Amino acid sequence: MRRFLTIILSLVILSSTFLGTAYAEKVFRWSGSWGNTWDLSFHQGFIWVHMMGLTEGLIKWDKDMNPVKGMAESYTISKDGTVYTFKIRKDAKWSNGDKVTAYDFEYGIKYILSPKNGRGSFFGGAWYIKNAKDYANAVISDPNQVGIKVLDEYTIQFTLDGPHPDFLTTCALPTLYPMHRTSIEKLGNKAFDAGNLVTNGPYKLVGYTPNVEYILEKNPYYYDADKVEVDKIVGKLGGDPFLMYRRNEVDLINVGAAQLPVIEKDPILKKELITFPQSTVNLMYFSYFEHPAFDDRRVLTALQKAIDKEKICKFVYRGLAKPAYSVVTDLIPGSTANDPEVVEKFRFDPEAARKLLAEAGYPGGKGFPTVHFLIHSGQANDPLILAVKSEWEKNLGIKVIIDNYEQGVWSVKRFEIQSEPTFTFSGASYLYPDPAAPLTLNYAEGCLVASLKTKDLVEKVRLEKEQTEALKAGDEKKASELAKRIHNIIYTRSTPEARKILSLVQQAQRTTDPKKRLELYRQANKIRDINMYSSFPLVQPMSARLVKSNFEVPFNKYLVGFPVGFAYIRTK
Amino acid sequence: MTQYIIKRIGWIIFNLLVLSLIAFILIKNVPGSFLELQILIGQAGTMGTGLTISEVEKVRGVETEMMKRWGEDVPLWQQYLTFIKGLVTLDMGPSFRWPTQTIEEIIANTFPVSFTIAILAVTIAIIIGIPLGVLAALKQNSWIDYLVSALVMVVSAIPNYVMAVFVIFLFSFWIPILPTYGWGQPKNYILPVLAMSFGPIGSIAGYMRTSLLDALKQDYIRTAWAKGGTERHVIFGHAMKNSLIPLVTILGPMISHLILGTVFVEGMFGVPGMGQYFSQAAGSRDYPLMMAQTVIFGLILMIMNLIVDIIYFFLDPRIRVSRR
Amino acid sequence: MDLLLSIDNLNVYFYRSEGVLKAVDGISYNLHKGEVLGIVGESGSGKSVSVLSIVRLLPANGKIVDGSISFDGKDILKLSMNELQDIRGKDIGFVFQDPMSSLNPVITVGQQVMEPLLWHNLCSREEAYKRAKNMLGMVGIPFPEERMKEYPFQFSGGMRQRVMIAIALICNPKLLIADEPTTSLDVTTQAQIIRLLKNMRSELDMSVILITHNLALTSNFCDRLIIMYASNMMETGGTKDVLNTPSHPYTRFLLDAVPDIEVEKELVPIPGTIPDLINPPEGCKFHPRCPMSMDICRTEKPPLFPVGDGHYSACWLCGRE
Ligand SMILES: Nc1ncnc2c1ncn2[C@@H]1O[C@H](COP(=O)(O)OP(=O)(O)OP(=O)(O)O)[C@@H](O)[C@H]1O
Ligand code: SF4
Ligand SMILES: [Mg+2]
Repeated sequence: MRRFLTIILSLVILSSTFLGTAYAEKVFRWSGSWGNTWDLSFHQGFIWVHMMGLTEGLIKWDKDMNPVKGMAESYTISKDGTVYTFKIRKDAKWSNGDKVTAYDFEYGIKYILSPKNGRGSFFGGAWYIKNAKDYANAVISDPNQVGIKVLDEYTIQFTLDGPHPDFLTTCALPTLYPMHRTSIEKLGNKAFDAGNLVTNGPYKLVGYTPNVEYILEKNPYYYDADKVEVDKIVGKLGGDPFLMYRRNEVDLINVGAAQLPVIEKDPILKKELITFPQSTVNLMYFSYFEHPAFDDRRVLTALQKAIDKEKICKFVYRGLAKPAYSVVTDLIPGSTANDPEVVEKFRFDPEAARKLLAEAGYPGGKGFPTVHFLIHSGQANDPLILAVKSEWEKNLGIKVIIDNYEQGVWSVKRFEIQSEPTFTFSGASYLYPDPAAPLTLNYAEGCLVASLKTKDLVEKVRLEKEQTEALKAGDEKKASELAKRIHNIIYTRSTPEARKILSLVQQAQRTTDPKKRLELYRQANKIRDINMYSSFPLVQPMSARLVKSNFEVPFNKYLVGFPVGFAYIRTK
Repeated sequence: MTQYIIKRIGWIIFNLLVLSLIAFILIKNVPGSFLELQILIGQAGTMGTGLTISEVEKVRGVETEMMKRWGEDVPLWQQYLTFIKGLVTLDMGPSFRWPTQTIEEIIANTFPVSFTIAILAVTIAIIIGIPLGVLAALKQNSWIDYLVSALVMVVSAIPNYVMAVFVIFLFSFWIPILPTYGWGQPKNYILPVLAMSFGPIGSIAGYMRTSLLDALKQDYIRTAWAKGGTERHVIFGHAMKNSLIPLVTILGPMISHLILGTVFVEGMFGVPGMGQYFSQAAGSRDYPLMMAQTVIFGLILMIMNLIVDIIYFFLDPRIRVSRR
Repeated sequence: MDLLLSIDNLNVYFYRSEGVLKAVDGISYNLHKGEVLGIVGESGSGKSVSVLSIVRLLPANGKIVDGSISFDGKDILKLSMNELQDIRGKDIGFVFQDPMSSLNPVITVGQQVMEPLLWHNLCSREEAYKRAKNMLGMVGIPFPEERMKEYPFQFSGGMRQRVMIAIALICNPKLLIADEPTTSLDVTTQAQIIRLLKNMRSELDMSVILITHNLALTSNFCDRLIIMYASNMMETGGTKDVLNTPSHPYTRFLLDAVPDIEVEKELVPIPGTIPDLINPPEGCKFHPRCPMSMDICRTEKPPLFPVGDGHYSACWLCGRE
């Protein structure tokens, strides 16, 4: 009997110790994302969650955003920098246990490029692949012409349209991801539902309620699963993040200037606050309109010198921003944002601004046309826009009218020809630290357009509209004639500086020597920052987030609002 | 009665057709189409995404591909017929904004949620609002009446997002017993339902108060007193019966409104309802979803009215007997 | 005969924003068992208010400020709500002026007739049903069983008034108060209703107070009459005495307005208007319209002077003689 009792007792003790040391699941919950599909071909904002943990490219970013080998175990780059050959690691597995092969990459990238599937806003490195653009734009219909070749089950080769040193880092981005062919061909759209989505990254998607939340769980087949610490990621897509954070319902939120005073007063929150720079610039752009005043560099300089960015950063952003003098932030190599010459030229100086305006024929703002800010309903309460308005009215004596439109109407209206001088506001972000990220070829060509006189710009837009009409009517001949005329305007009436930028970028794209390449981009940046006036950089906002003290989350200066990768989250 | 209902249903179908046609014309005429927005985003979004000048013309090819994908490569009247066909066969295809979900799936997933929440909110509003209104009416011009009237004013004037924050503070901070956010457990219903029931409590209490006061002034109430009725007999047996009937008429629109008009509460508490889908549909020019939304809204409103009329039919002998 | 109801110096005031309105200004009368009393007067003279006071059913802003009402030995004004409810509908039946609005539109007629029995716990539901059916038959409603299931809107005005009478009589009351039961009905129906009331009174042996504009209706039904004018009792006495030898100028006016007593005819308006009751004239309330008024009439209120056996008149002319 006694023995029996002892056995029972020891059993109880055993089981209780077992329960006591039972593995506690580590869950990381965060707030501040949105989305509408997990299909990579719709590569917009939400897809970055793929990048943070669901799907992994040949290359991935380490926690400091350096490109390191992901699905690739090795790679070679041809001498001329145009052919990339990757060897895929043998232990790479999909979340259902299937092995990841070169065919999956070929299938995935072509799926994303195919015009028959979704189309997103960002192509990144996929654009560099030979014929990829033409295939994506339905100019050619044969996917075999795209420069992707499977050499064997574990080897894939990309042929680019030129040497693009940043191709490697863009392999970490979603447009160059593999996709799981069998499940997509079998399930169609349902393949992207939670539970069905097959991924090859550190996590798999186990739950998704649109507008509410998504749940990721550790992918046991991931080759580096041992190093992944958090078992479960919960992303909350709504609610009041600040309330949820204080209720301990989430571990990480992004905060803005509005919450700072509350955080500052709370000793615990204050300790949990992390701020870091972000590769985003808030800008104002010219819309299409015709007015000689806006062809006058004195006016354009005056307009910029009349905005007290320091003050705006201090009061509007409560220190969560710094003045911006370039559209390319100083987080991008080759940026000239802090170049003294650039800063000096556009530094706040109301006296000088008024003088410039007077010289241009508008003393005290007299005779200056009314300026319109074309904004959408989401910007209606943006203090930055109101601040610029008041700065211009106060410092230059000009009149600003804010026109507020519904978002959809606004997106169309801002590309129409305006009857009066008009500006729009938006932000520009660069996704990875490479000089080529902002200075793409089309951006450099855009500089040509941006340097046109307002009259020429309006003419170009008119011709483009005609061209669209002609194409719609099926008049190919007229359309191509118009195309020639447009081309002509852009190349003959643009400024020499703009053409210089284009040639520097073209040169840089052919240059493989990293130092020389960087120098070429730097020169292009500086010319643009000093001589280009089509957009006014305003401020470079900073990211601020609250993170519970038991988590260590590496931050990402480039993917605005996202952690760098869930696999790098550490618990304390 | 059955004949009447059949006739009404016929009307509903006819009205829906007219409604959807008008909506279709209006929606297609709002500046900015889904495709335009997509292409514009492609050109003007994140830097480093666009096309070089020589490539711009080529994009037209994509446009036709995309138009084909979204069924916009055919004339408008054909697009409308396709929509109607989809509506009838319950196969309306994918949403534009939510490309991997079909309209039917979206509605099948979200309608039950929105409907349940709305019904719960109205039930609570009835349970609380009616006694409040009765109390105020019976104690007319007393402090209770003033208190109730003030309460009615306050809760009907305060928008439900303020109420949402209020209930979060109440039940998640001061009395920390409920989560502010999430879905899936019964307790997740409490706060959104509560936040949404305040407005209806106000209107039901207010409505009840006036209609009961009105009923109490009627001659037949004096008759009931003269017959020796106690308060229970007169107020609950006679006056309430009359004042509850008109209340039914406000419940129909109230429920339809709650089913569709809960965007903020949904977003705040993480309720996977219809409201958010629909509110985002317009902004992104998600035509199929916008059309579905219009039809659903019309349908819910008309069905609710029909149900109200049927209930009215059973409650009010004047209508019931004369229709017979 | 035994005394059933005794009203002494009843004063009822209404508190209105413009001031205090004396709706009943010191009225006293007695009613004996089995007696039929007619109260006659122009609209607004206080007839309804005076009888509503008997069951304390005044509108919320009306108040009995003075006087006493004793019914069947009970001091009505001192009764608790429960005791009062016990009397209402059981001992005193009430028939209101407007049969169209006095019945609840959403409750069946049968239920409404049964309610007084049920509410006073006088009998079981089945019994109440039987009695209601009989009563409806008695008041002249054909096919009572079927019609009990129907709603008031399915009844004509006269039929509804019969239902009202059935409701008032279902508990066999000691007193029936009929407040202008025929005003809103057409002439033939009026006569039918009065005939019905007369029959029911003799069958059920109760007292009746009949309020009317129409003197003609009183002559072969009422035992006694009270003539009211501007909240005051002007003349009272046996019906024959009052109608044949009217001693108050106002009564004479009323009679002149009815050329042939046997012909049923609406009251013809008397020249001049009823005085404003918030600021009533001093002295005799009738003096502004009275062709015989004297100086004293303008300053002093005439008391009720006896002018015959149980016949009184509130007129200085009668006091002099
Ligand atoms: N609820 C009320 N509030 C204020 N005054 C009232 C109210 N009810 C009646 N009165 C006033 O009291 C006076 C007497 O009213 P009452 O109803 O007794 O008249 P009536 O003789 O019955 O007239 P009718 O023949 O029109 O029924 C009238 O002047 C009337 O204006
Ligand atoms: S008292 Fe005077 S005023 Fe009054 S009725 Fe008699 S005579 Fe006329
Ligand atoms: Mg009356």
